Amino acid sequence: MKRKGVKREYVHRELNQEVTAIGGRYALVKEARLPFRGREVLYLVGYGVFDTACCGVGGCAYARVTGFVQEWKCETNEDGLAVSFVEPIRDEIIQKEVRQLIKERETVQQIEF
Amino acid sequence: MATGIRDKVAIIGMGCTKFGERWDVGSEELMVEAFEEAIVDAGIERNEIQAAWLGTCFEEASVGKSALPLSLTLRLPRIPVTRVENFCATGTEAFRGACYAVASGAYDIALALGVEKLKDIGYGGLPNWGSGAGALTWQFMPNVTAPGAFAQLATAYAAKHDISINDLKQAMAHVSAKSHANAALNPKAHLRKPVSVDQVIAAPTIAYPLGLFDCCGVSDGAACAIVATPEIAERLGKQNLVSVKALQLALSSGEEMGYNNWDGDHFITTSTCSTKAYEEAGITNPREEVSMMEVHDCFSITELVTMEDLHISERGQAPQDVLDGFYDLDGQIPCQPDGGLKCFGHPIGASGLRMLYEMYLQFQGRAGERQLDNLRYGLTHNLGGMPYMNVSAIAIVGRYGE
Repeated sequence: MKRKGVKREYVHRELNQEVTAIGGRYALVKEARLPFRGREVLYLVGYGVFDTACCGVGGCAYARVTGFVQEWKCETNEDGLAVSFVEPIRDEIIQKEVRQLIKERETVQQIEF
Repeated sequence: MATGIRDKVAIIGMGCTKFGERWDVGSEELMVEAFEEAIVDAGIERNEIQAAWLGTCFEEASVGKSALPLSLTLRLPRIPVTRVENFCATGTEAFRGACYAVASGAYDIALALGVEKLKDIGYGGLPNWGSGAGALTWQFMPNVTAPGAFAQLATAYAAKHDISINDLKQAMAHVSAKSHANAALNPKAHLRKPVSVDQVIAAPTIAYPLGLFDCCGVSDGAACAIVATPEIAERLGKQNLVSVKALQLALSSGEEMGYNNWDGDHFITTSTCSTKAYEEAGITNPREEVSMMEVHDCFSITELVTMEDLHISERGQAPQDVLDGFYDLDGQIPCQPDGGLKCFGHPIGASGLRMLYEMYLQFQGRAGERQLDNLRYGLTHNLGGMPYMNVSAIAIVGRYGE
């Protein structure tokens, strides 16, 4: 399998818009930039509800860490949405530190990278 | 010596309801809706149907026990009717019964109908098995959830093929985004809403690494097929005759659960089942000869791994094929042209027949905006159960005599 580079595109979508799946829905409510060792980590906070999944019912607030910010809102895509570039965080030690910092700031049940 | 079922049975009519939250109707109305479309399509009278098979999985929550719900609802004229259930392969199992009945010469025209009404049960998800689960429940449902079990399939696959979870999630997201794009073109699909790969990735986790868009839901719906011998179909003046090339079923023996020689990274049953199906259909190179597929995407990792168990992608290569667009609607082998379980919906007893409905429409040139061309073989696949214990069913159809 081809490995993608360390630079990944991030599209800034409108917040508080529900995205619907057949098993439930979610909405992102916040984009946050966390200072970390002289760099910035971009993470998203959202909530999800799983009320029509085949596997049962549930819900949570969660954080999704997109990565270290490389270029902030440097482009616009074909839909007119701002685009940034991030470097995904693969190092498990750094992930652990970032996870702890987010835990101190946010009330979320999941923090995924 | 068994000769298989190739070209012994033709599909003369099919029907399928819109899938979704069908609060407006009950199971019986769903059965009638699918049946009426099928019998008009077949151009026959109800009294010409000589035998019928009903597929429903959670009969306690929908139609009730026995085959009487089908016989009574469709006012079938005192013919033999059988109810079958085989987890998520139930719809294909009903089709298999009808096809074997015609192929054996026992009947000229037979009907298969699958139905499930799951949105009225009062809670999300599937009904609890309760005391009807069987004596071996402790063995095959050992305190596990479906997303939990299939999440382990994903992590085992990543470990076996040395793929990072993030790269695997990208491929799984492409699987989901592709099905959403296809369903947006399908007026009968439960969820007609395109999503982007980054929206799929941004969803919350259900069972790591599977997110919200990696899991299917449940739906209400019914689908129906009427089958006959090719001779009768031709006598009825049917054009573009679609015939059955193979019907195979493989069930776990307990080997995956009980011993250490399975790595947990794929479906042994599907691998065996597809090999037998290709042999029955006379297919020697599935990657070149199969034109389209509807596979069981209960979870996006299931679809991805199934590409390899169907011997279309090489072991460890399905993520790359997915990312290359090989299974997209404009790819070499479009997979889930109708939207699949995740977007067309999953009324369990109807799903296998719903898949065949799409194949039938495609071969008849009636698939609208989703229409594909240069079709040779269409393959459908169901997987009922868990990775470590399951029922795998495969049907292959194509143009009669080709």
